[in-house]
Amino acid sequence: MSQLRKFQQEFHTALLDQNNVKNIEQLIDSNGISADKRINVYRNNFKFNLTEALRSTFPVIYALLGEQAFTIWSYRFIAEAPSTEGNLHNYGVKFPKFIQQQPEYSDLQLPYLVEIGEFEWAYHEVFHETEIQPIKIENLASVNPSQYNEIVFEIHPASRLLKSNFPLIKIWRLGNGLDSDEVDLDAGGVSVLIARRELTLEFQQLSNEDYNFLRLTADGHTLGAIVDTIGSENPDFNLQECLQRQFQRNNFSGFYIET
Amino acid sequence: MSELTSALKPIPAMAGIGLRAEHYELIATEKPKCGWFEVHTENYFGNGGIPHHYLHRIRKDYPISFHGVGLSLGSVDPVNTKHLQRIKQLIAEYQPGLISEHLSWSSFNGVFTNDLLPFPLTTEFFNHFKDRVNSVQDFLEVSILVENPSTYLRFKHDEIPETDFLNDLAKQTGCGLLLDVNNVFVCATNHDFSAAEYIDNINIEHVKEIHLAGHTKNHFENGSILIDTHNTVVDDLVWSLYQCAIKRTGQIATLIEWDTDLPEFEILLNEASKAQNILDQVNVAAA
Ligand SMILES: [Fe+2]
Repeated sequence: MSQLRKFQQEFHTALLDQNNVKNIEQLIDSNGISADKRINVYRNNFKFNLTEALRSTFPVIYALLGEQAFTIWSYRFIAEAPSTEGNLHNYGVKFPKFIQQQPEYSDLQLPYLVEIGEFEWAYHEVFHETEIQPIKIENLASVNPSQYNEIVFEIHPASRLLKSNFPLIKIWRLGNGLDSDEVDLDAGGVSVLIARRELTLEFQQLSNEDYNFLRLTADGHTLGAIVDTIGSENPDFNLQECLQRQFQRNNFSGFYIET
Repeated sequence: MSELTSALKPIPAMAGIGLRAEHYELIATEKPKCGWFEVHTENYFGNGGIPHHYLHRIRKDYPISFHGVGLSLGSVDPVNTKHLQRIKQLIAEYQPGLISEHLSWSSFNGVFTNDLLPFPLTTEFFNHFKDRVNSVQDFLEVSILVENPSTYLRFKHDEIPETDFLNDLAKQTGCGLLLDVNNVFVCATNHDFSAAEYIDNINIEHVKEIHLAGHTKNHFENGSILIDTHNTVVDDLVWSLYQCAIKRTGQIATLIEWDTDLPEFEILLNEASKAQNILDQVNVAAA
């Protein structure tokens, strides 16, 4: 192993594990302040940077836990699921599941914490998603009516579909300081499409039918198959109105005819 | 390499400001007087959305430079071509006037600390770093600037003065240098050397950009360490050092960096106009 590789391995090890600094300590010119304290400056910086990245993606979890508890979990997360890229956009996708596994989780009495984390991650993704022009209802004019059943719509990429057990939109607004009302946790869950169209981020609260429609569409089902599935549960399902709502909300970015 | 460089919109020899999301709307709509803006390249690694919307708008009114913080240039890990590919796409999309990275490393075995880590100034590291700069420039088809970092410790097995390291790097790879005057001050204080001498020892013709930022003092039992925190105004002593530096460089692109505890944009404009006044005086002196 080259000297340089050995050095980087040992320095890296010392950063990640404060009980493993012996090898690198010998190489450091302490000049008044111990090598251990100097390494600790780097250790703190790196944990701070990653914690800040998590905090900016999960502001509501941060608000609910407070700085101290958030930092403890963040440091544990950094140790267990380290960053693997120089770009931090994808860092934290596993954070909501991770907090659920922490021994203190059940004592916290915050049963909605994982759901709100998943909501925040979806928001983060939508914020950075591809810019695409939505299609208009007029785009369907070219389709022969005999092929309507074979249409598969493509959901606008800056969209994430979520279904929850808790009133996440209210919790999210409270956690971001946009509302000050108390949240009634027994109010039940929401079905929501988190959507960004140009600069506007919105939460579309969905009926059961609309949620099912978008879910099945996202899974690549044809219009005919979707109508059959939803219609078998709800004979009153009105496809035309449902489609109009989706076009009004610019929820489709394309379609194709399945052959 | 030079052909592509000349197609990019050049950064003027003026004061610029680090662009942060909190100030997007103000800059895009009010178009404040500012020579140019610098962005952290990795902040635009997302496919679209709000950051790209604003960067496109702001790019129409101002030259932009790309400052990378995540390439891990000095690492012994293989060069991350996915990361480089994304930078290359962004260069094509935004035509930045300058592209910079750090004399540093931040990953081992694919695990990133997302921080700028210190390095021994050895011939082995020099050769490795030189190869890395060469391969990055070949890949991007453009020359980059390499910035002197702040460090909080030094190694007993250092062999080469940092200024020689940077001068030789520029000479042998064709890269430019980004001289961070605050980093020079921080290192000089932390490691007991003369900041003015460091600047005197840099081959000034390679310096294409200057950084100015605020730092913080961390106290320990047996002394203190200055940390490059980018969270406050530029220190008076750093301003003095800047005046020395630009006597050598002449008018030059100068960036105000401020990343955490971000203030009102007004404060950043103030810092930039302070730098601009100093630059203007140098022009007068030279005329
Ligand atoms: Fe800098």
